[in-house]
Amino acid sequence: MQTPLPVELQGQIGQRLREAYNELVSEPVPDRFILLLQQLKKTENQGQGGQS
Amino acid sequence: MTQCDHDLQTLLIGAVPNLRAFANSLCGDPTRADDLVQDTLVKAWTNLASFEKGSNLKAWLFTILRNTYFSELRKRRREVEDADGAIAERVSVLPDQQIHMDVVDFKKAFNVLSDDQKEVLLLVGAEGFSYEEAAEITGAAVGTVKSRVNRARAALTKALGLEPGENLTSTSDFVGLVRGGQAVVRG
Repeated sequence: MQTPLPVELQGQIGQRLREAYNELVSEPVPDRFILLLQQLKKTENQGQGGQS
Repeated sequence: MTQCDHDLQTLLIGAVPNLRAFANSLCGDPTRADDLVQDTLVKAWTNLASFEKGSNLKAWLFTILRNTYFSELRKRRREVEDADGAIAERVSVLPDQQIHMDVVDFKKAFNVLSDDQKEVLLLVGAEGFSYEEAAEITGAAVGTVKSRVNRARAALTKALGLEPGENLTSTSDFVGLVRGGQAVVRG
C-alpha cells in the first residue's frame, strides 16, 4: 500500500489541476456545436418518431 | 414538447465547455477531443429515451463521452499493438530535470498518468463529481475509484518532483518548502 499524501500537498495538487482544467473549461464554445444541436433538433422535428 | 427540446438544447450546450475540457485532458488532442464531444452530443440526443428524467444529465453525458473514448482507444490499441511499442512510448516517464510547478509542466506531468488515473482524477478532482458519481460514470467500484484517485495523486506528485525526498526528513518541513508555489532547493 502507498502512504497517503500529506493533506496540504493534496490540496496543492488539486488546485493545480483545477487551474489547468478551468483554463480549458473557459474556452469559448465553437460554433460547430451550436450548429450541430440546431441540426439535430431540426432533423427530429422533420422526422417525428424517427428515433428507434 | 418544443419547450422541452429547447431546454435540452440549452442544457447540452451548457455542458459543452466541460465536456471539451474533459475530452481534451483525456486524449490530449484538441481535434479529437472535439470529435468526441460531437459524438457524445449526437449519441445523447438520439438516446434521450434512455436518460432517466431527474437524474444527473452531466454525469450521463460524461459517461457517454468516456465510453466512446475508451472503446475507440481499445480499437486503436488492437490496431497498433503488434506494430510497435507505440503505447509504451506514450506512457514513458518524464525526464526529471528541472521540474517547476507552472501550468505547462503540470500538463506534462499529468500525461504520465494512465488513462484510468487521468479519468478519475479529472472527474473527482477537476469536475467535482463525488466518488459515487465517478464510480457510476466509469462503471468501476467506489473503492477502485478511490484507490485510482490516490494513485493518480501520488504519481502526479512524483512527476512534479514534489515527492518527499530522502534528504527531507519531516513532512511538514517539506510542505513548508513548497508552499508559495515554488520548490526550494536545499543547499
